[in-house]
Amino acid sequence: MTRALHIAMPLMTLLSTALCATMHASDANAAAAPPRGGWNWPNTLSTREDVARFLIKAGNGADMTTLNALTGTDTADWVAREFAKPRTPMLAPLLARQAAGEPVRNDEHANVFWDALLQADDVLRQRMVYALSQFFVVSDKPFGAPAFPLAHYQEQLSRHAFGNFRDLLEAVTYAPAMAQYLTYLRNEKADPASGRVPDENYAREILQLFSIGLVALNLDGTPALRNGQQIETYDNTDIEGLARVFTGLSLAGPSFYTPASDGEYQRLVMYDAFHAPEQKRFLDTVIPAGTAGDASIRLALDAIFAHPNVAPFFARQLIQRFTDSDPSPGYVRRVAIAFNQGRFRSANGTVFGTGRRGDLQATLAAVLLHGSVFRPTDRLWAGDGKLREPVLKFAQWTRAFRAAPIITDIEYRLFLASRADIGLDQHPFRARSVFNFYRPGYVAPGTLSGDRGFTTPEFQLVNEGSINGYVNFMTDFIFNQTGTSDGSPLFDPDYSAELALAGDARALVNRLNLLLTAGQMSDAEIEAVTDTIETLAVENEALDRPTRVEAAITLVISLPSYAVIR
Amino acid sequence: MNTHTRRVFLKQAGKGLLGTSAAFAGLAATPAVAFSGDYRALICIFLKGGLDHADTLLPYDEPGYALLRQARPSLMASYGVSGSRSRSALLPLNPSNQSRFGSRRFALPPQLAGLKDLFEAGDLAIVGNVGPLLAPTDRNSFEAESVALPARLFSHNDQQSTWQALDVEGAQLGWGGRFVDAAVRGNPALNPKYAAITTGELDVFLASQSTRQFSAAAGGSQRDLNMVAIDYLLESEPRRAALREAIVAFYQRSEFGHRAFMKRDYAQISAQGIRNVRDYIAATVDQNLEFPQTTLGAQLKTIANAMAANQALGTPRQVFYATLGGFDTHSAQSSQLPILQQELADALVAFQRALQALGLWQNTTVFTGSDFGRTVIDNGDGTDHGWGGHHFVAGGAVRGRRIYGSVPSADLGSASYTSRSGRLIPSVAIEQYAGTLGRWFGLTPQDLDGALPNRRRFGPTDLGFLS
Repeated sequence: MTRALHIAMPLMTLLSTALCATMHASDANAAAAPPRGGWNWPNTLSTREDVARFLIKAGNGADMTTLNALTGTDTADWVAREFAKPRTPMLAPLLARQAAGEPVRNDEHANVFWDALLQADDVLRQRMVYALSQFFVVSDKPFGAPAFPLAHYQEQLSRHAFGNFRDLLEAVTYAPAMAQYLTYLRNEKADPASGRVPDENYAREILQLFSIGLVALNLDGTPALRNGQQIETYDNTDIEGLARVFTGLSLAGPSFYTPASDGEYQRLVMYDAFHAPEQKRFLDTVIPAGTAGDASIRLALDAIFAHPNVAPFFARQLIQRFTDSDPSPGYVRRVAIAFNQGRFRSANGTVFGTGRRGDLQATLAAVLLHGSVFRPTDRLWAGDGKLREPVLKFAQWTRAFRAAPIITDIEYRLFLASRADIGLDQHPFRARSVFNFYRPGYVAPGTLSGDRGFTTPEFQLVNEGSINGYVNFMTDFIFNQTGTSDGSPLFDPDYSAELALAGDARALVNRLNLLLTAGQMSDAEIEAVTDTIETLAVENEALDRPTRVEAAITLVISLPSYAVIR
Repeated sequence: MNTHTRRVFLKQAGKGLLGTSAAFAGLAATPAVAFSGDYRALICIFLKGGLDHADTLLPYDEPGYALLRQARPSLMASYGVSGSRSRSALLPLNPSNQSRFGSRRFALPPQLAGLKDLFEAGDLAIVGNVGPLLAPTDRNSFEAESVALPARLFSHNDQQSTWQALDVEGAQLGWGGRFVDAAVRGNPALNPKYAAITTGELDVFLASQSTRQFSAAAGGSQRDLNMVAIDYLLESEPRRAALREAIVAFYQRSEFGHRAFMKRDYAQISAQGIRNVRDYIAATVDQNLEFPQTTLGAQLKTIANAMAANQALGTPRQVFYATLGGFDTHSAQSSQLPILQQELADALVAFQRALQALGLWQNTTVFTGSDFGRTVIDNGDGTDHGWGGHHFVAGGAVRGRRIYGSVPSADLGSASYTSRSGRLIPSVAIEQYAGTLGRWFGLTPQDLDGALPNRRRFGPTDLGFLS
C-alpha cells in the first residue's frame, strides 16, 4: 500500500498558526526583561568555575586538569567534539564474553552502562543515553535474564543518541526489550470468535510517554487551551486503533512462536499472519485495511512523529535531564524550534544538525548552548537550577577524583544502587515503572518550589528513606571502603592534591568548592564545612590528613549546592 | 598513604561497630504525648498497575461463571483446565448479605484463601465496583458523553492520582493527607511528623498541608547515618569525638544562607529527614512480629512497628501508605497475578495476626486501592486498562463478611459496561469509599466535605462497612 497515510493537515496548520500567534506571557523564570539581544550570553568558558558549571550540566563534572584545559574555550566546540567521538559499545562486550565461552551474568548490561557512564570518553553521549533511558523507559526489573535484551536496548539508545528522533522511535519500537517490557511481543490481531482484542499497552504509552503526551501543547511546552480547557490529544478509540498497529511482532527466528537463540538482541520481526488486517484509525490518521505490518508501523510512527506536540514534549524533558528542573517557556520553545528545524546555530556561529526535523544533535545543542545556561550566576533568579539525579552526583565524584580501577562487575554496591536505604534510590535502566523514577510534572508538596508551582521531578527521590542512603553510599566510596572482600582496591580516588591542602581547611574547601560545585557554595556552606573539619587538628599526618579530606568531601556532596547546579 | 591497608582496617573496624547507631538514641527524641486509648490507623495498600477485579472476585454460580469464561476465553484457558480459575478450585464466599444477590454467588481464587478466612471471620469486607466519578454515570450517559467524566481515564499515572487525590497527576493533596490535616486540627497534641507514613513510593495519597509524609524503610530497619569510618578513627583516637559530633550536627543543619528555592528546599528536606529518622529510630522498637519476607510483608511489618509506637511518636491518628506493584497484567496474567494475590493475602493475614497480638486490630482499618480495574475482554494472555474495580477492607471495626457496592455479572452487553472491551463503569464513587473510611477515622461531616468536596453528588455518603 502506498500513501495510506492521511494526516489532518488543517488541524496541524491551525495549531501552528495558533502557536505563532500566542503571546508569550512574560517568561516566568526571568529576573527582568531580557537584555538587548535576548539571553544570548556567550558560550565561552572564561574561568574554571565556568568550565565546572558547564560540565556538571552537560557531562559528569571534571577533574582539575580538565578544568584548566578547557578554560578559555567555547562550549560549542566541546559539544561538537563530543558529537564526533567514537561510541562506547553496549552489546559488543557481552557478545565478546559469550564468544569466548565466558559466563554472561544477568546484570552484565548494567555493568556495561556503569562503566560507560563513569569512565568512558564519550561523556555527552552517555549523558544522553541516560536521559533517553528516562524518556523511553525500559526497566530491567521484571526481566528474568535481562543482560542481552537490555544491552541491545542500551545499544539502540546509544546508536541514535546523536541521530534522529524518528529513527530512535523506530529502533525503540523494534527492540525486544521494549516489546517484552510493554508486552507487545507476540501481540496478536483480534480474534472475533473469542472476542480477544490486541494488547493496548504500547499504543497507550508510545503516545502518552514517548512522543506527544496527554494534552495539546504550545510550542513552548505550555498546555494549549480551548475555551479555557486543556485539549486531550487522543481518546481510547485512538488507542484501540493504534493497538492494531503493534500486532504481529516477535523475536527473529524460525517462526512467530520460536525465537532464534540470538533473537533477544536482534531487531524484532513482523509476522504478517498475526498482524491485524483491519483498518487502523488514530490521531486523524487512517491506515487502510490490508496494510502489511511493517508498513503499518512505519506509517504510524510517521504520523506520531508529525504531531506538533513531539518537539515541545520531548524538549522540555530533555532540558530537565541536563540543565533546568523547571525550564522557562522561552527555553522550551527555543529547543523545540531546533527540533523542528533540525538545526541550531550557537552563539559562536557553529551550526548543529542536518536540517531534518527531529535531529537530536540540533536539539541537544540547543539545550546545552541556550543563553540561560551561561547566565552569570549573579544574574540568576531564585527559581533557576537543576536538582541533580543521585546517579549523576555519584558519577561526578568518580570523575572529579579519577577513581580507579572501576571494575563494575565486582562492585556489588553498584548493583544495590537502586535501594533507597543503602543506595542511591536510582539505578540506570531500573526504574520502578515505565513512568520513570519521577514525573516530569512533579511539584513537591510543602516546599518553596512547590508553593510557586515549579516542577522539581528529582525531589521525588529526596526523602527520609533515601537521604541517609545517599550519604551512606557516598561515604563508603569517599572513604574508599568499597571493593572486594580481600581488600583489592576498586574506585581508588586520587586525593593527592587535596591531601596537600589538608592542613589549611579553608584552602581545601575552596578547592572542593570549585571542583564539586563550580564555585557555587554559599559563604555559610564554606564556613560550615571548614569549621566542621577544623574540629580535627592535624596531629597525626598519616591519619588526620586523609580524614580531613574524606570528611570534607563527604560533607560537600551532601550540600544543597552539590544537589542543585545553577 | 596506603589507602589499601587503611581500607582493610576500616572494613574490620566496621564489623565491630555497626551497632553504634544506638549511641544516637540518646539524642532528643520526639516528646511522647500521652493520650487516651482512642488510637486509629488507616492503612492504604495501593496495588499499582491496575488490579484485575474480574480475576480477583469471580462469579461462582454456574451461569455467572460461564459468562465470565465466555467474556475472556483465552485468559481463562491460559490458567489451564484444572488451574486456579477452574470453578472447582475457587473458594466460594458465604456473605451474610447473600440475599442481596439472589442466586448469584461469588468466590475468591485459591491464592486469596487468607482473605477468604478473614472474610468469613467477619474481619474483611468487599466493596464492589469502586472508581472515580464526577457524577453518577451509566453506559448511556457515558457513550452519549452527556455526563462529566474524570479526566484521562485509563492512564496509569493520572488514575493513580485520581484515586489518591481526586484529580489527575499534579494534584497537591491526597485524601489520606487531608484526613491527616483534619486529625491535626482536631488533636492539638498530635505530632504531625509521623502521622503520614509511607513505606512505598512518595505518592500523592499522603500529601497534606500539615506535614511532609515520613518515608519509613520497609522491613523495620531504618538506616541511620553510616559513621563507620569515623567510628573506627574515633576508637583509635578519642580526640576525634569532636569531629564526629560536628559532622552529625552538620547533617542536621537546614540553613545555609541560600536564596535559590531548590537549595533551600533541599537543605530543609535533607536536615529534617535526618533528624526525623533519628527520632523515629529512637521511638520505635522492633516488635519481632512474624511477616512474610515479601515486598508487601516487609512494608506491613514496618507499619505494625510504627503503630505499636504510636504513643512514643505522639500520633493518636496515623495514615499509612504501602504499595505493591506488578498489577499491570497486559500479558502473562495467569502466571503473574496469582503470585501477587498470594503476596497480598499472606501479608494481610500476618498483619491481622500481628495487630491482634499488639491489641491494635480494633483500632485498624486497612484497605486496597488501585489505578483502575481491567477490561473484562482479554487480549490473549492479559487484560487492558479498565475503570471500576473491586476492593478489600479489613480491620477490627469492619462490618465484615459482607459485599458492599455492586458486583456486575460479566454480561458485557449490560449497562454496567462501556460498549467496547468491557470496562466496568463504577457504581461507587471513590468519595463514598473514602468518606466511609474518613468518618470512622474521626472526621466530622464538615471535615469530610472539605476533604472530599464532591461526596454528596452520589448515593449514600457512608457505605456502612465500618461500625
